[in-house]
Amino acid sequence: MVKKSTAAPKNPALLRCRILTPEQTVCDQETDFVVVWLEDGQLGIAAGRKPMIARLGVGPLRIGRADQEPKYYYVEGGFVEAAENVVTVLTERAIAAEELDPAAVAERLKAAQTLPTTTPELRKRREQAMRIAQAQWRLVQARSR
Amino acid sequence: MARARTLEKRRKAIQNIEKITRTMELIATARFKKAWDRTQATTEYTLGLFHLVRDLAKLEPAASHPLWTPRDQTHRVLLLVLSSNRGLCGGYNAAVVRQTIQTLDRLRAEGCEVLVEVSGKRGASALRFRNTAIQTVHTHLADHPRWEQVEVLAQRYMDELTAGRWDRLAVVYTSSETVGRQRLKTEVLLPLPRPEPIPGHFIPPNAAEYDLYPSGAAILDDLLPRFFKVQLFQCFLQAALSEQIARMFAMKSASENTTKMLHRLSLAHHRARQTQITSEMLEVLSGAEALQQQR
Repeated sequence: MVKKSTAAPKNPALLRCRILTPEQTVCDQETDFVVVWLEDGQLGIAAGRKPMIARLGVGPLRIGRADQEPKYYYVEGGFVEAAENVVTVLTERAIAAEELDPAAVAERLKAAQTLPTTTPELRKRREQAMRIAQAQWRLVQARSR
Repeated sequence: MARARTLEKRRKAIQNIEKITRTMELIATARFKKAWDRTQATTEYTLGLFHLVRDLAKLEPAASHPLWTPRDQTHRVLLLVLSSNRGLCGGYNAAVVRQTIQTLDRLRAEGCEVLVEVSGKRGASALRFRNTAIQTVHTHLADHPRWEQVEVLAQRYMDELTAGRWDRLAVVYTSSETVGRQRLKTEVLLPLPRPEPIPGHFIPPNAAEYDLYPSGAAILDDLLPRFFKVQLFQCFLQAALSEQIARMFAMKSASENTTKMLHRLSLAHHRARQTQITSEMLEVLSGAEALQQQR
């Protein structure tokens, strides 16, 4: 069985950030700051934070401080638990920002925009597709700048 | 030369079989490695979700959700049996079927009505042979279970439970904690059992010291269906992994057995050949003797 330690970093000023998906462990690294995207806005997590569990929205996840070359991931919903300086993100889909293909993302955005909105059911589906496409689009845009 | 020749023929046949079993062993080993990696990759995620559910169960003791409200009485049980599509894997399917029959008998003795769903052709035909009524047979999930396919199935199960078609889902499958140890399991997946904290292993969190966004109940609403899905997926992965391990060992012992048989057969062949030569020589000699005496 997996006997990987889930221990917190030795340095009390650091966090351990893990992103887990059903297919693989996308990321497991030490950092001093993590910003997650909740349903109603962003939330920063630093070392020594009060334990918390939250539901994630569709959006970017940042590892590291903004002025120190942070790493970005696209995360599609799921949950985050922060306790004892370990941040665990559980999501069904997580992609590193540099692995997003700008052309494919632009395509997806265009496809989402042209989805029909004639019934409430369809409108809901379009909203979800738009959320996903826009979140990816923003990440791609931020990287090209 | 009749006997020696039949022995030679058999030896050749066994040599061919050995080639096949060796190849099958190699294939099973390669597939096992893949299945093992997939199972390992999912384990982390499953464990993570399990810890979340456990923590939330502690934080929100009053929370109720249709997926984990225990039923007062169980009338109908859905039994999902995970077997394989292909044979030649030792006692793998037979063991699963035996376990299924036992579980069926036990559940019926308790007075439950049991619906049976089977994944894998082998298990289905074995159960049919024993006159078990089967609701559905899934043949696309046994070899290489994919997340999207299992998700669809899981969604259907959750809908059926909430609609009250049955009150409990149990899965019969083989799990492999290590390569050397397979264990048959009958696990109740729905309604989800409330995780019990293991004493000494885990300090239950204190509700006052936790932040929950947006709220415990809202997180649980979203979390429990995902938890069930990934648990079901894990069962399918474990079953596929165990099948490959069983086949690997079955083919390994078959190959070893052919080596032994070849040894025995070649000894018998030499002996038969020798006897034949001796008797032929005796015939020639006695013939010559007889001719000499006539003169």
